[in-house]
Amino acid sequence: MGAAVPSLVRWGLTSDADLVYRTLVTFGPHTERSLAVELGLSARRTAQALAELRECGAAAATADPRTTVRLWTPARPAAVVERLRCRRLKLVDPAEKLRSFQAVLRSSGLMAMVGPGRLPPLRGEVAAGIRYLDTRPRARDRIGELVSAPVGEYWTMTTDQAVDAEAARAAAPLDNALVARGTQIRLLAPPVADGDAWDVSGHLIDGRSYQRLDSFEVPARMMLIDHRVALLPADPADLERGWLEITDPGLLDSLTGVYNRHWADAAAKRRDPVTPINLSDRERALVTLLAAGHTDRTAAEQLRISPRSVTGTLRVLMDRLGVENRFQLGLALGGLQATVPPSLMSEVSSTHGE
Amino acid sequence: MPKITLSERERRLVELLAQGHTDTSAAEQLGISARSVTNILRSLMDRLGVDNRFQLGLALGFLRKASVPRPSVGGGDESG
Repeated sequence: MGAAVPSLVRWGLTSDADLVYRTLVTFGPHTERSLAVELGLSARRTAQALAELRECGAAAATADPRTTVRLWTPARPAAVVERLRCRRLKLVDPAEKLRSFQAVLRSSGLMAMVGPGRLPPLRGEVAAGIRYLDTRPRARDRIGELVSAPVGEYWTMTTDQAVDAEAARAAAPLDNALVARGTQIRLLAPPVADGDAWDVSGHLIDGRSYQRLDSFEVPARMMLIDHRVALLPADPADLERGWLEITDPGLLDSLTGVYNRHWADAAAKRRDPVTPINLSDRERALVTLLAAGHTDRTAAEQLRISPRSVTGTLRVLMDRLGVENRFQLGLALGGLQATVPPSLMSEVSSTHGE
Repeated sequence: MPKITLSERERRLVELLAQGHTDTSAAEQLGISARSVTNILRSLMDRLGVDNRFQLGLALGFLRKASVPRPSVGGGDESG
């Protein structure tokens, strides 16, 4: 109640859309025309902003056929942020999940023996080094058994964005016990939605003995225990159908390879947290001049544009990067290695060698 | 040229500015005067061979000394 309206620019909307949304939330429903007049936006920009808001469900117009005056009403800020967050997070879709799971099976050679739609008929040994644990409780018991022996490394990855309640209940005591015994834990998963009540082990993550990396590219749910056992769900769409326990050395090697590759990718992404941005020709030219020490005015002269255009261009760029001042703009662009001040030019070649 | 190491005070100041703090609010946070903030930045700019805040940001971003905070994905949230 009475909370500040969140900035939609942070979630990838334009500053126009953000402004219109703010206005709707603060002052109530408006017509397109009254928005344009009050905000001093052109009709085209107003229409674009509203289209953007409609597209992401942040605002809706009354569809009364008897009138041509359509009234725009905002959606609740919390709901909008949630939706935008999901959009940004690209929720993993089930079909894609199945495809990537099959790719893992194929690349590891497991596909030849088992695979979705071809569940082993019976629990127990399916082939040498592959056991089928045919129910979830049975799988859980087996995992408990495996980790009751000393475990050096316990690596998991999951495609789930939201933490599943049952999995959380099972994992919480397990994680606690592993941490207490000094096991090295790694978790690779899509970012958890804010305030997920089942993110029970989040507080254990310390970046040393318990490391977590975010990744949207996790191909399958998997657990690796000391490179001696791997566990994969028998059917990625339905955990009730149990897990496969893999001890075959060849399969273990390739599954560990899959894990390592994704872990390394996620670690590399973390070093470059800013998403790449494409600069327009004008933006690039301007940024290059400013990086070289030009003032707004001398840069404008060089580019034969008005100082106002310089300010405007930078404003748009700052909105796109979600920053508020020149220092932050510099940081963001520097972090993207978009350009460097001349005094650091010599660094460009040397840092790339590292 | 500059293999630069930030002092603890410089690091904290840069971090605050990266979060969007103004000189004044950063000075308050650090319990130092606004003038000290200017001086710290001035000396950093000298060491990095740059003349203004934009260039300072570029240099620090390029050297990975700081980065603008990521939009919150998990963790602190602006909507609450």
